[in-house]
Amino acid sequence: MGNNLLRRDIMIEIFISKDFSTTPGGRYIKEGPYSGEEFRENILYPKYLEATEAKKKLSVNLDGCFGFAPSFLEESFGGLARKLNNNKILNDIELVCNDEPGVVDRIKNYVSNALNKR
Amino acid sequence: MKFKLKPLHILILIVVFVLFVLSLISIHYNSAKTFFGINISSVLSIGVTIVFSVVLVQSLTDERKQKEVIDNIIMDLKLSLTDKKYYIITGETDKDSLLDSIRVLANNIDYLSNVNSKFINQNDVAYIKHIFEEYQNLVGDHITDLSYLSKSKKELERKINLIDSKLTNMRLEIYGMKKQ
Repeated sequence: MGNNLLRRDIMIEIFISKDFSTTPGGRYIKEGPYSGEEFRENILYPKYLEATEAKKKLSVNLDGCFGFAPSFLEESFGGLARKLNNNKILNDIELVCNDEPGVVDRIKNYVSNALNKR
Repeated sequence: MKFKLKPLHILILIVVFVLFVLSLISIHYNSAKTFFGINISSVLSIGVTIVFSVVLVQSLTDERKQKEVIDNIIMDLKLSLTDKKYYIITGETDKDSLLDSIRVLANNIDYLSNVNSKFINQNDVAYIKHIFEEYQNLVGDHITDLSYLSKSKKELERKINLIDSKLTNMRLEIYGMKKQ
């Protein structure tokens, strides 16, 4: 319990299933609701700025959702990397996904690829 | 009433058997000294052979069990992929249930990618991951438009079949059945 309080104090948390949707969609807003672009612009990017200004880490919890299209993840996190153009982005974000552990590595690859293609 | 053999009974039987054998040896020892005579180098040779055999058999058994675990994951995947729900999507399809099932596939494919490359060809796994990502993209990008997905049956089925074929190939390779 004490540890959780400490974590909340040093982290800003996003729970995609509660803060956004349990059924994330595709890549772009024009493709339909709950897209990666929508998530990035409305939640991920503002929260990232909030966390860095407060000198806190941003925790993104992907549990509780019914799966993620790769295009959603790439547009959300790869898109954030392209928007910020910042090598330290992976140090600033903690990713949690116990439902589908492979998602965390995929997101890191998307971010790395997005930064490498600058 | 059925007589059930308990560990104590087994222990008593073993002790009786050992005592019986020892008594036979002691009775016949004097008349067959050359039979029971043995030098230390022979004892060592026998001991080394026994230890080596046990270790080798154990290691081969372990490897076989490891292959079976991997094969079970592959078979789980193949069995799941026989379900037409992965490519026949209609307006009645439960989106959440479909996405959840797709995640189970994703997890199993991830397990294969973490397996020691001694057992499976990681290029095959990379191929499967690539095709499956295309499949996930197609479903995920249009999950809110089931009519689109209902018209994409051919493409979805093609990807599922490609994954299934590659899994069959992997099974053959695990058990060394492919022609070199």
